[in-house]
Amino acid sequence: MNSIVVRISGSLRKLTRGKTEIELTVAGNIADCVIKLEEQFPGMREKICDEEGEIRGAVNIYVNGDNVRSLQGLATTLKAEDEVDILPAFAAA
Amino acid sequence: MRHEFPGRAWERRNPEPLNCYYIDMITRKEREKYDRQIRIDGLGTEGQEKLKQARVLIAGVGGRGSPLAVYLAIAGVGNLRIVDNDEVSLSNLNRQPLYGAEDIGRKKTEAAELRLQKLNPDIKVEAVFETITEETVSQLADGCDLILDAVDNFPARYVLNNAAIKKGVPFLYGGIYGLEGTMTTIIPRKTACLRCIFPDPPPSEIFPVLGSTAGILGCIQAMEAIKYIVGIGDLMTNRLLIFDGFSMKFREVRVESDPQCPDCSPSAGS
Ligand SMILES: [Zn+2]
Repeated sequence: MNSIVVRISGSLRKLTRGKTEIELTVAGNIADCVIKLEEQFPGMREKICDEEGEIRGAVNIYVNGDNVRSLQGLATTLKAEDEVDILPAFAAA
Repeated sequence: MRHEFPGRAWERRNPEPLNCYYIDMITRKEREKYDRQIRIDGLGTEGQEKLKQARVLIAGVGGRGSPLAVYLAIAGVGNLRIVDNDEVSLSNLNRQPLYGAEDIGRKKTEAAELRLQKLNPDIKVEAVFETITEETVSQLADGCDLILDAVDNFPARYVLNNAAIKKGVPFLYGGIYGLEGTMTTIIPRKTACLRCIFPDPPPSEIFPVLGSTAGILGCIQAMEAIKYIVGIGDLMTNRLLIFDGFSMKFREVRVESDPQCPDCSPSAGS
């Protein structure tokens, strides 16, 4: 089990009641991280993933500054002290 | 590091370089007006002349568009084309300092043009009351050296992104939410495009926004535009800036082109 920090931005903070950084202990990869977030903040998985379970095109997940889309997506493995950023697109002018 | 000045629109307007030099050289009054920025390393009178020559498209004169237009106007960017399809409403006034209570009900483009010309009578402001669509964008962006995103929705951003790719001019993306904001500089064929970064639009809703968030991001975009025109500094290319006013932190993440991007990959549109 690895201890990581997940940064939550924008509209997703409604679900965390304004909390910006969440410390999590996760077993393996980004998918596990999303499951853990869903346990603590119900509704999070639906905001992050679409009906097919893929990361939504309007949400980016970064591990230490790299977009997981160019890594292994939800299967991107996490190690201790990784910094995960979950960033929904900001649309306001 | 200096980067190449985007010459196409410039050359088109000024087929004879000698002529253009004399016509567009800054006046003594302008030299005094812009004295403090002419003193910036790498800017100088040469940079001020480039600013005077430049034509930029400001897509949207709302939250970010207000500071963006104001700071480009007073910096002496010679040709501002402002585009919007909206009228000033009461709920705009918390974040759009181009307008006051007396402007409610007026076209934003008209009120903005008046205000900007008051701030700087030495520049040209073209106000276009129009919706940004696939059909209108080519003409709206015609002759512009760069396209500045100050719109409030992703469909319009994708249209601007595509126009920038087609015309080969930079597109400065920005977006805000509450006390947070993001921006990046897109140089077609050199960096990722907006579609590479966000393949799909977020759901449309009425967003929370603080005026100062729009001010911060609009000012950053204005600074980036000036750097680009003058050719100084390092641009926010292949990086996405994330500002969080709640924790008062700036951070950045890496941005990569998507080789399968439907908008900017070599096979796109074919
Ligand atoms: Zn692209």
